[in-house]
Amino acid sequence: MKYKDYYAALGVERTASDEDIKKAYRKLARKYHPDVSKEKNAEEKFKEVAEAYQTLSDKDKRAAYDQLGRHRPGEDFRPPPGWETRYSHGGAEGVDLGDLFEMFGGGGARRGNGFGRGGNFATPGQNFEANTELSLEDAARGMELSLDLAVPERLAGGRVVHSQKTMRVRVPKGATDGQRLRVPGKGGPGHNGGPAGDLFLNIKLKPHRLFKVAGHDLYLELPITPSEAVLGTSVEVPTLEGRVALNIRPGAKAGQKLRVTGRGLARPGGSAGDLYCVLTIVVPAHPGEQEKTLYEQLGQISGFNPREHLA
Amino acid sequence: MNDPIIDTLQFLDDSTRLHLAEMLQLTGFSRDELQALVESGALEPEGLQADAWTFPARTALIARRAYGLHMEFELDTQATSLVLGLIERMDEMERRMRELECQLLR
Repeated sequence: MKYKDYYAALGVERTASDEDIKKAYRKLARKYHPDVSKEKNAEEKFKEVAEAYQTLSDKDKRAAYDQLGRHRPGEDFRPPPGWETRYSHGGAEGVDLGDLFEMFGGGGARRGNGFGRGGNFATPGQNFEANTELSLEDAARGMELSLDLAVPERLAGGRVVHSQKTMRVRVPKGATDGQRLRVPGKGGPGHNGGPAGDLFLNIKLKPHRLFKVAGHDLYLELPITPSEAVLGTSVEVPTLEGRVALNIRPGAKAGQKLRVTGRGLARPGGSAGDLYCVLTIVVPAHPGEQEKTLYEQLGQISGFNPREHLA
Repeated sequence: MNDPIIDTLQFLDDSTRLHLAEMLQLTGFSRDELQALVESGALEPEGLQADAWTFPARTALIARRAYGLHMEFELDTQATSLVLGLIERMDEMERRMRELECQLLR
């Protein structure tokens, strides 16, 4: 079994009082809680801190933990003689320390997922979470995915092991970045007649070469020349389903948004977001001699002063 | 043999509405806690009686996050109600920020 230093995770001495442990946890939970933190690896850090607190905030668990002695974090160690008989009826060999203390004394309540709860009342099964990254094209069309999940299972005697489970799911079109989907009943089995948990799938979209995504709307940066901006033009723009013609009226401005209705990502239910073409006016990096001459002539004959309001 | 493909995925956004029992299972709140949040105005279900209430699934996801904070920081119902509102505002601002970032030119 690999050792985890729960005191170090909370940044407290081994002699810390319950109050100090609670204070340290609160402070770190505030810092790393995934819903409020912008820290890197916040979720991972929060799990470490929460696991440490779950053990050290419980008098019996803390006493059992202390009896494991002091080791280096990550070091393989064996509990002292008699420890397993007293505290870990299923044996501690190869078990994650966090899982071991999760099941300690008949099982603590890990919040919200119904896993490891004791008693004889009906409780729902554990909810499973999976993350997946889709291309924009796959999200637009919908696709089949194979998900590999590390599923915890409780063996006879209360011991918890993680096993690999593969699930094939069909993601319908309509998904976008940050979206969550639920597969009812595909989480862990319920206990004492409780319903099975759910599987939650978190969608992330891979960055696209051309399009940026906001909800179900897409944004495309569309460069035009100064003369096209002044005179207007018609251009072809790419969409996820082929190219479309777009008219740009005379007098176009940089940053102006032109909407192509219904050419964004499909929404659940049938409609679709829009595609916004954001105009940018670009100038040639190396204009030819004739171009320079013509621009000079234009500068001389044009009475246009864009800085009139600054005078 | 391959497992059959699962095609019952449900979008958790405004296109899906959840009944009270689903809301309780998804968020983790007890029925009393959820009722208190409705009474405080933090959650606004459709339907008159609790058993007929439905909530947009997007709200359930916000409530689920609020439940996490409620548990981790031992928040009472009033503070949880406030947190719910703040998460909703934060989400809306992040949505707006993403939209504006998309309009920034390279």
